[in-house]
Amino acid sequence: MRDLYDCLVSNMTEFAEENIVLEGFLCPICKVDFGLDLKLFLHFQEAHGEDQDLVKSFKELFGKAKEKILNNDIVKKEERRYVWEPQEIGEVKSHIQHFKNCRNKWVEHFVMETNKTVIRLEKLLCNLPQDPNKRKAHEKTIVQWLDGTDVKRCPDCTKSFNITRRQHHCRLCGSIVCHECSCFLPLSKAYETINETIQNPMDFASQSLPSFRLCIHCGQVLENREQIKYRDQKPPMCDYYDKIMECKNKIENDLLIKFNQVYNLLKEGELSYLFEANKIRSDIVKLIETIDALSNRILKMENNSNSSKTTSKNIKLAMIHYVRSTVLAIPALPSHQEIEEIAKRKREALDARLRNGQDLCMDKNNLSVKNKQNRTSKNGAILKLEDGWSPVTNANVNSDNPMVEQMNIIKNYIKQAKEAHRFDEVASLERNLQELNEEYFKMQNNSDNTSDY
Amino acid sequence: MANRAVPQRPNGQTPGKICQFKLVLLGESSVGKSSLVLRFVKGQFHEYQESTIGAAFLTQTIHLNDVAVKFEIWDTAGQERYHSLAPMYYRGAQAAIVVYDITNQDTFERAKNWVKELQRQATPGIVIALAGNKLDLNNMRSVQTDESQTYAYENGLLFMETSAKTSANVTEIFKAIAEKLPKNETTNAAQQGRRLVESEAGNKSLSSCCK
Ligand SMILES: Nc1nc2c(ncn2[C@@H]2O[C@H](COP(=O)(O)OP(=O)(O)OP(=O)(O)O)[C@@H](O)[C@H]2O)c(=O)[nH]1
Ligand SMILES: [Mg+2]
Ligand SMILES: [Zn+2]
Ligand SMILES: [Zn+2]
Ligand SMILES: [Zn+2]
Repeated sequence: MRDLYDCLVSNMTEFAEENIVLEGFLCPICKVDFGLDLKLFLHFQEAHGEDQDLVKSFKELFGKAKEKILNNDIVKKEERRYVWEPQEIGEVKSHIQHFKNCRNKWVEHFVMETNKTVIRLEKLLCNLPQDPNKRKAHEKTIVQWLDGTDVKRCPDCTKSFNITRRQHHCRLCGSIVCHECSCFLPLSKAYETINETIQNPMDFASQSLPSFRLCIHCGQVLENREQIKYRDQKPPMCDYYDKIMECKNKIENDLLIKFNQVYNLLKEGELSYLFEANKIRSDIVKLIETIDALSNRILKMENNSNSSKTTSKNIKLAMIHYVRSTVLAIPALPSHQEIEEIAKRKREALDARLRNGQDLCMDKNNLSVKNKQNRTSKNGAILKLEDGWSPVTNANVNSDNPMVEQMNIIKNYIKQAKEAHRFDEVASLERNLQELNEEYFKMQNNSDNTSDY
Repeated sequence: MANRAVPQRPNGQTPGKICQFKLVLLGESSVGKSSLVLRFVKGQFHEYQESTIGAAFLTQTIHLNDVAVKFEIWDTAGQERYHSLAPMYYRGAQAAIVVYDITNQDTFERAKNWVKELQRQATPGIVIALAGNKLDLNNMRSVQTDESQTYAYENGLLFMETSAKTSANVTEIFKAIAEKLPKNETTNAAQQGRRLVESEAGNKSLSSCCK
């Protein structure tokens, strides 16, 4: 402690003695303060650049000085470099909304442009004259054509227009492009785009060019629109698959549940449910047939892609499996006779129970009556059940040793037997507990003996 | 003093006695031992019966004519871990029900082993009943009735196929055991550790017990 204190004090006095302290962006050679790091650096390269070693060492010095000035940063940098312990996650911010906003702008823009283009196309197609000259005039009234006099080059490929590379107008936006930078929209496709068929195809049959010239940009807009249309369109097998799923749902969530209920009732001897059970059963079979037919139709469908071929095959396989497992899960209905048999047995059991119940009442009220009854039915042994007693096994008895576990169980049983005033049971249980204790000690001794040798 | 507690019997009939018997259930885990007992004692059945820990204790009395037979039932756990406990419960038992599951051949083999063990280690004269449980699953049966019946006959066992679920033959098997249990030789009973308890209504004559 002392040493450290002395050292500190002496250091401080040293600092105090060095009275003139220069601060700032000083050139180490001319000791001029440049005020800005960049200025100092430029000065140094200009004035003292011939000495490369010095420049290098100065750069280092400069770097250190900078670090010292931005003291906090060093610490952080060093931490980042050397401390690899897991770091807590700082502030977290969702950028989804921002992304959506940006995206929405684009989507809106795109949708608007597409819609405008389609509307223009609609107008173009409305009352389109057949005569080429009249048609051109018509086209010009819908979309204003750009004046080509000042356009010297194609805006797309920047090649200059001349006799061989002529100017062409896009019919949808009126801009000027060269032939290579344009494309044609066949009339039939144009009608398709606006969801109409050609009213009178023969009208256009004689025409040499039944199509519109478009700039690549407008062509792309329409092309994209078509693709999106197809993207949202489900493949035709989906309809069938949905129907299959409907059937499956109906079977699983409705019919099978009902069937099981009715089936259990039949097993209880309720004959009146036999008709309904048969009906539900045949309904299930019908649905299974439908599923089979639908999956066959999917399989036979013309699938152009390989992936949809495997899909349809897999659907068929899954359905075969499903149909099999469902059919197997439906138990055969008991026959009319069997159900009657069950009902008969049940009635008998009920009668017996009723007799026993009467016995029980009489036992409580009048012993002599019971005895008389017993005498009258001496041959058929009268069976009477009392309400039995059973303690609850609490699950908290776990131990590594099953014997200890059992002792805990029995202790708990004894408690319950006492509470229930079951003194015979208490006695039996206590005897068992003692046996367990003896057995346990025997076991302990044995294991002690064996471990001794 | 004594007269107060003893109701007078106008016809002078021999009053009923209570015979108490210790009965143990043995068998592979999940064959339905607890379910059988629960059906017999409480008239209940649980589709999701929890596996027994150690050995459970239940009592039930059945009245055979004017004899009350009280069973002290020890329902042992079938799990391997508790096998060391079983001898403590079949020792001194007057009756045993060895249970197997008719849909599972292995449990039948295990039952035979239990029978062997009982014949070697348990009290001589113990009444052993073999119960082929889960009769309601008859369509999944893998142990044929003939097979078990022959086996039971050869080994002098009572045999019944039962279902704790539908309660088929459950009371019947206990009743059959009760009927087969010897009920009059007091000396023999004492040797076997059977306790004879006079009912409150009974007279003092021990020899006339359980006629
Ligand atoms: N279908 C049917 N199931 C039964 C029958 N008896 C028992 N079970 C079922 O079988 C399963 C096991 O029954 P338990 O009574 O716990 O079997 P356990 O022999 O006591 O088993 P441990 O206590 O592990 O030795 C339970 O899910 C019961 O619902 C029966 O007669 N029919
Ligand atoms: Mg159990
Ligand atoms: Zn300088
Ligand atoms: Zn265009
Ligand atoms: Zn071009």
